[in-house]
Amino acid sequence: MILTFQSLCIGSFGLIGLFLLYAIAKGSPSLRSFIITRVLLTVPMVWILVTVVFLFMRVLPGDPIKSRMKPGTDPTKIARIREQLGLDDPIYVQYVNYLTGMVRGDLGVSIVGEERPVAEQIAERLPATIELVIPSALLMLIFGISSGAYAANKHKKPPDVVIRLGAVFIYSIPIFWMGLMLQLVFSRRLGWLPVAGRISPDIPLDRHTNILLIDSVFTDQGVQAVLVFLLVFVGLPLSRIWGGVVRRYLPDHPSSEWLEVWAGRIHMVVILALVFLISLTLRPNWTALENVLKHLVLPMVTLSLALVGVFVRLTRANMIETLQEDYIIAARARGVPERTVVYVHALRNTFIPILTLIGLQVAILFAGAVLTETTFSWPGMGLMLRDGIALRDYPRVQGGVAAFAVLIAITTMLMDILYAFIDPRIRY
Amino acid sequence: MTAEHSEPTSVAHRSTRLGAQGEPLMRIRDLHVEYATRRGPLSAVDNLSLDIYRGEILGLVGESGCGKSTLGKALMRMIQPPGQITRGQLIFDGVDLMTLPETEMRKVRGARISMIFQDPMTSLNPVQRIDEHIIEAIRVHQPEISRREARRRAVELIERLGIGAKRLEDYPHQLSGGMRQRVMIGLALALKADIIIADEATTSLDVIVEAKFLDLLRELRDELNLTIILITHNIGIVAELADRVVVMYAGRVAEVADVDTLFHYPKHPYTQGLLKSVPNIDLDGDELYRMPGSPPNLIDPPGGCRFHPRCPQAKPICAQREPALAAVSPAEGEPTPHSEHLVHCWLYQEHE
Amino acid sequence: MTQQSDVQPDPPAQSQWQTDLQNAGLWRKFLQMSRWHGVNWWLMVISAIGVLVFVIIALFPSWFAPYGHNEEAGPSRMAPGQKPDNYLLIVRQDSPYTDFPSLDEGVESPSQAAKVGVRNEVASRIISEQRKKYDMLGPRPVRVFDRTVEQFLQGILDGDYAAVLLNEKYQEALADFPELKSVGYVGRVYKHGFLLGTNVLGFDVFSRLIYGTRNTLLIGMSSAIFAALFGIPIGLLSGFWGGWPDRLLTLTMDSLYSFPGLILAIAIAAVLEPGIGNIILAIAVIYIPTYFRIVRGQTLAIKQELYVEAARALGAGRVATLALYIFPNVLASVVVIFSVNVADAILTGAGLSFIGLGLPVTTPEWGADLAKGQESIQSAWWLVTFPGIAIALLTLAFSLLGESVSEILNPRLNRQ
Ligand SMILES: Nc1ncnc2c1ncn2[C@@H]1O[C@H](COP(=O)(O)OP(=O)(O)O)[C@@H](O)[C@H]1O
Ligand SMILES: [Mg+2]
Repeated sequence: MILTFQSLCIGSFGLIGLFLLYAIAKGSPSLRSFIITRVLLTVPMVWILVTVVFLFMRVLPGDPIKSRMKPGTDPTKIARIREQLGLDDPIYVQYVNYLTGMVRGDLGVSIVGEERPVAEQIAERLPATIELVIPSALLMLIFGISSGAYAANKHKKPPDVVIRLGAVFIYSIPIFWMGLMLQLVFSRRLGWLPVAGRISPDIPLDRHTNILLIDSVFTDQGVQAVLVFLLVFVGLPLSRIWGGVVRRYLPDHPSSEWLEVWAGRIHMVVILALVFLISLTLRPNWTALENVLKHLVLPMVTLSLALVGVFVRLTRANMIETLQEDYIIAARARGVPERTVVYVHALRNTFIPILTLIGLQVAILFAGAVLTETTFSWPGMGLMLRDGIALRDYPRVQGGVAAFAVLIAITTMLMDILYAFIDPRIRY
Repeated sequence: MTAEHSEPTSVAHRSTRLGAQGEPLMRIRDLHVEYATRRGPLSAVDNLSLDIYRGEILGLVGESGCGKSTLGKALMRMIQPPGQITRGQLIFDGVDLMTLPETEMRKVRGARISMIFQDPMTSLNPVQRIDEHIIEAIRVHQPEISRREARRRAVELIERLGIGAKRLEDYPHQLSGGMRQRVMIGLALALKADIIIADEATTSLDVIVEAKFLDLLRELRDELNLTIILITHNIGIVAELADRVVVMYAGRVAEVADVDTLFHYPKHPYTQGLLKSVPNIDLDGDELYRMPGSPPNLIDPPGGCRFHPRCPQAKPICAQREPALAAVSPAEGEPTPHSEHLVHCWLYQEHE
Repeated sequence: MTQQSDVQPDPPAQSQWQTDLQNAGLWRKFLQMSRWHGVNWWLMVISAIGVLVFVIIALFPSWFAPYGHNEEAGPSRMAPGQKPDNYLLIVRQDSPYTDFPSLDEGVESPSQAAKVGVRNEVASRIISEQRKKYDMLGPRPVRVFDRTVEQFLQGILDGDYAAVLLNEKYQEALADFPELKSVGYVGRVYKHGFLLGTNVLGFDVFSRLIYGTRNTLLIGMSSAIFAALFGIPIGLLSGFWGGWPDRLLTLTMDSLYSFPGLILAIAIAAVLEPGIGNIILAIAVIYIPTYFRIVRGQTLAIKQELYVEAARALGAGRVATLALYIFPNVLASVVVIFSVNVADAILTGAGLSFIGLGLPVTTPEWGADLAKGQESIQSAWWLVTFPGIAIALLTLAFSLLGESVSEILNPRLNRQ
């Protein structure tokens, strides 16, 4: 089996690495040094976060074991657990053990139920969280940016006021409550969608990646998946080089002019055709796919609604400022059509500062995921945290939070670098 | 008296342009522009009529807030809310621009009438490369031109303006202020517009760059027979470059004349005050003249002639009725003006 | 040489509304502002009133709540507006029983149990309550669901039952049985239903919400206040002194800031005992970076500005410069984020309660009530719906306040 969650992770990190190398190679010296600093800075940021988590969990008044054990628990058991966790060691020893453990990927072992390593549990839960967070982020971006831009374009007119109020309104609704209400209406009353979970238990599906959408589309080997992945993420971007190649190496001639425009397009069409051909060889598990999608709808909508309000406001405020810029007025004075002015010139400039904010928002999306997963019994890392708290399984909570810290630090780092890469003004 | 001092008389050689003017390129008739404010409508341009001729450089001067920029924008119908052109005609090349639908008007903007803005630092899209700017400007109006052809034109254009073609690949922030302002001209010229409106285009440039920029404008005018409307509050620039000058006061035209006549024989008391208050290097130590009062609030302007509260020669009629913008003939011993000399003042008009 | 005229380049224009405001009285000022800012002004006024209402409710809950917050006001899980059934005790005309307790005496032995007929579970609950109340052994409920009211009443005449608890609604049936009489109501008599229903324990949901206002508001406001109390001075000092402490603090705060508050709060709350104070502590900690960042940024900006330089030049000490020049300027922006921050803190607090780091059942708090309601969402939708609406309204009031104030204060969005 080629396609596993592990290979997916390796693939994505490979792509990210390629992107970073490309940016470092292609970018200006200042961009280069920014990227390197930013990547290096991620280490202390993660370190600070996990240290803070450690401090909070150990140094704050309150005993992680005693406060979480049911009264009347056998004191010898408590002693055994304390021993096992090294809680009686001096604090700095604990800290060093904790850090070295983290570096080795060892997050401790659950003290409740099956005593499994926390890292193993996370690896099992992570795909579910990813499957929830990424579609939600996309949905949120599409809705948030388009309606924010629209509102800005209608600044101080009724649509603007309506969208703005709607955004504040949605922002004010507790996300888990929103989930419960949607569940109440669409699952329990109307019966259109399943109440909870990722897939109905009676549907057979091989879980090689445990990202069920992928699993139900690529049911066998996964060679196709790798090919499609490569074609889309490596093949498609390559279509951009043709213009430059033609311009540089072919003589000035009407046909080379034609080539300059069309080579890239043909390249894209060929790639898409290849993807299509490959997709013909797939044997997707349609029942599973439908079932998975149905399960995904409500959690995804809930999670994206939670943050869409913030995004509408960000986009709107940025866009209003941009629309007042001189270059926008200048573009209008050049006869550029209004639609192009607003949705190309202004939106592009608006989007760049928003990009860094996306980093922060994706972080908040993870927090939202904890609540959404709890509402919909979605077996991801959020539910793991919740269970850890309910079962008073303190290593699980600590490990889960630390894992979130790493995930978030990496996401924000990528966003910052992407921002620097895209915005030509940035000079570090 | 230093020898370097150049009096604003170097205009003589330009006068030939003003000889046979023929049909105006643009005729502005009864133009009104209002801004809606919380305290009522503000009439920034009031009942303004003006002719603009092909190939001339028309200086538009006046204190801040007298409606120069508003007029410039109105010529392209670029007034944004809360502003509005409430009335008037803009007859350009035989067509009244005010009657055109917005889609047609868009084809005029940039292609026939272009504008250069005050601040070259902020008037270029920071995430668009220079060539993309020019190519876009060309292809918006002539989509049949291929990108490659448009780029070739951009190269030509930019080299004509004295910038290396390599800079086309740059982003705006990589260029100096002077270069950016030249790019702005390039954008205005990309489609060989008939009229170029330059609104305070040199205010943000330093003196040396400014001088180069003005030379360039003049050259381009001579070469391409451009019509340039030079909006500025810097009278020195007007004296150096313009063929004809329009003096505005509180949304109205106070005086129009060719540059020689205006600077040597100003008729309107406002123009006279304005010229007297120009600091001159040879004034050795004399106190600079300061015009009394300040421009009126345009929401509730004074009746009659709007200048009368500040006018040293005001008569009773001035507060009651607005004078016409009428031609004056030169006084005894004054040379004939090269073009019509119009003044908006009761001092030169009969009334009963 | 270019000559300059005396005409100045456009001076920074004073906004219209500032000019308007200069000679106006307080009330006229208010009206004028409303005209200039339009919708935003009204939003601000409305949301400020909303916040005020919540504060009043939080301060004086007993003025508004019909029942206590831990008072069993009626039967469990009554739907909103649903009036609980009242029951009459029906006996034979000639029977010695005068009320429910006397029934017990008439029953010879516990084995002779089934003496009271019931129509539904509520009645059976009344019976068991009454038995508890009077410490009786005798009457036991009979669960017979396939009989009509008439059959039950007939059952008394036939000697099957000593008495029957008759739902008020079927009172007319008595008319056909002249041999029977009603000796009055049993249990509590309800005149009307509960506005928002009752919860599993029979607490009035509306009263719970009223009493919960205080805790919810307390969590939101005091965590924001504590965060501000720590964040502002640290930000001020860090921005003012600069150097490596500033860099270290900034890196730390930025790391914390990029981390979602809720997850951090989970970590903190997980080791603390559940309780209002600790929830506030957990939330306060995670909002410190918010204030730190804003204040530090502003301090840096203001430090550059001339008047601070001037104050320094005039010999003002460092502390004086901070307190007199920088702090007041920073305060304006803090006020705006405070309001939004309270809204955020309320949501985070509710989230914590929802995950189960909340409060004991006896403490009325919206998030905790909601979390408890989730257990019976299938049968009692109102237990989840109303606390959620309350949280949303309170959050809405604060975020609308912040939103409209910032819209009014932000000159960049108001430029015309
Ligand atoms: N967007 C606007 N809203 C309201 N009033 C405006 C606006 N723009 C300009 N004005 C007013 O119109 C008048 C003319 O302004 P402007 O054309 O910019 O003058 P100038 O360019 O000569 O300095 C001024 O009194 C100014 O206050
Ligand atoms: Mg102006």
